[in-house]
Amino acid sequence: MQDWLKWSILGLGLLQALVGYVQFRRKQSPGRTDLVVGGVLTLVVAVQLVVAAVVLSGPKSIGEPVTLFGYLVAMLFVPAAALWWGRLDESRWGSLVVAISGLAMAVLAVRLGQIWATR
Amino acid sequence: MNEPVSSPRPSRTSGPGRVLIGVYALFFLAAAARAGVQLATQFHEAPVAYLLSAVAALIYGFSTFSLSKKGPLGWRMARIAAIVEIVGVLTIGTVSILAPADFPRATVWSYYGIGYGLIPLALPILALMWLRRTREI
Repeated sequence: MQDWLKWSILGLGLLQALVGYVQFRRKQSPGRTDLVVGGVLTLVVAVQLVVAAVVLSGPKSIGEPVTLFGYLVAMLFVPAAALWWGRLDESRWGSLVVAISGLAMAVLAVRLGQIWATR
Repeated sequence: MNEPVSSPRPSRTSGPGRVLIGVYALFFLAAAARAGVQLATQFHEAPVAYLLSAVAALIYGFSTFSLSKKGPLGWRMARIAAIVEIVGVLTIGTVSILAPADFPRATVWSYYGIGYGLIPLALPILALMWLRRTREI
């Protein structure tokens, strides 16, 4: 797995978690920053999905391709789903939803790296 | 008899409930995906463990649905789901420690869900606490 992609997803996920948590502490509902970070995060996952498809179609093998694509497709929708679900609630709790989704993305990025490396 | 209106009950699906439903949805997704892949590709290696993963996925899905479902029926269903979950995670967690040979592969609930940051153990407890605060029957 391309290291810069893994670290980008991990970093953006942690950033989303931090932004959401700060808003939660300040009793704010999710705002513009969450949308921007979530959008960039989804974009990077999409790039990773394309890269994985290209690598897999070549001679190099990736460990457990089914699981890998399952993770990537799920990760494509987690930020958007969390923003939609979190913004339905016009309170600080919506921000906590977004924060937890960022943490989940970071964990998924680490797992993704492990699955990629499985032989 | 109407209850006094002085202490408004929080809505089950908003506030902390929204966070709880979100985490349940995430666990449903994770357990379902994991169970699906395992049942399709490695079922013969440890059928019991994989079936348990599938059962956990079903229960997480049921919890997500019933916690979001308004009305006393949703409340009752959510409580049943949370009790089944806590019994499940405690039973599977204990069995996985006492007889690890029967669990060659980890399930969501093995070792009380330590592979998932013990969240599988915390979720039903938090759900029961939240259901107490939003009691509807």
